[in-house]
Amino acid sequence: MSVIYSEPWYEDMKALINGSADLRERAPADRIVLSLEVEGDGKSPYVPEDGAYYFLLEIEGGRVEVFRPLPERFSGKGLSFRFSAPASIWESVAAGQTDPITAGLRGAIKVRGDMRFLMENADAVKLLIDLYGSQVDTEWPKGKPPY
Amino acid sequence: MERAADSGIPVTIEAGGDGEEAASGLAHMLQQFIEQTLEVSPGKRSRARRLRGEVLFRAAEDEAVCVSLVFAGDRIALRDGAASRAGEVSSVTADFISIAHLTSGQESPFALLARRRLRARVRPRDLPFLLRMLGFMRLERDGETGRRRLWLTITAVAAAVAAGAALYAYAAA
Repeated sequence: MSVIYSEPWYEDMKALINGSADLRERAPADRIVLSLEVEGDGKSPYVPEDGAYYFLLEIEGGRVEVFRPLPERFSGKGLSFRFSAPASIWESVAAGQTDPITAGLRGAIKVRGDMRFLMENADAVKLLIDLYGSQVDTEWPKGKPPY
Repeated sequence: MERAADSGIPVTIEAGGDGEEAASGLAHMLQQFIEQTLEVSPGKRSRARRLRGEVLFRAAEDEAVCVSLVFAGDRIALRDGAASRAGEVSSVTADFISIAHLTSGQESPFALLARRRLRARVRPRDLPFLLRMLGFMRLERDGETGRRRLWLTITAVAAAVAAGAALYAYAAA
């Protein structure tokens, strides 16, 4: 069990994704660079209300090569996708309480990037976000959503 | 990450009084998808210019999320949350994965209809527009030859006529 947004938590998440044979089978061989933006919204006790956490994920052949926090918002160069949402939404997804696809369709999670690629690889994307949502061993020292 | 370059066919979101930023994720995803499609394919640009009509897309995951796509030749408008249009225009309801399979050509609309992964309320007079619109939305695959496209079109039209007749008979019953 690892504390949300801690170094072991990133490693656990990486191991979870890299342990999925299904994802390796369905994922495209291309290198995909994703930026996840977690915006403080005054509801999450883990992200300051006026702050944000930024993460970089690089996936190649269904394997996470890089998953690390960034000091600031990633510039658009070389980015395949940018996913941004309030912290309480991301944490609710990580706690398995919110379906990320429905959140994306409603606009709670904003998606920017190559939609043609997203459509062609929707099965792999769904697997990836289902894995994120199945991270049930997260430790929530300040309370689990809805806090 | 930049928005798609200007293709000469503006793709706009109409989201009522709250502005474009407040629109649903479905509207934003469709906007980006259409802009990117127009940007990379001259063929798709000319197909878009020939399209005239309106269809309502509804998310099966949350039917309150719906977007009406209005093709007007020189522009495309996405009317977010246009649920009030449901009785007035043809509509398609499907989950995200089915829409993705449809646009990427992994599954045909008829296979999805048969498996009830896609629900359609189609006015017979909208059928030609809907078929052309689905063809426009479908991604072009590398190496897809004109001959293969011709056969796909013939098959789709034949299947559409059959589906249209079935829908018409269903509506008339």
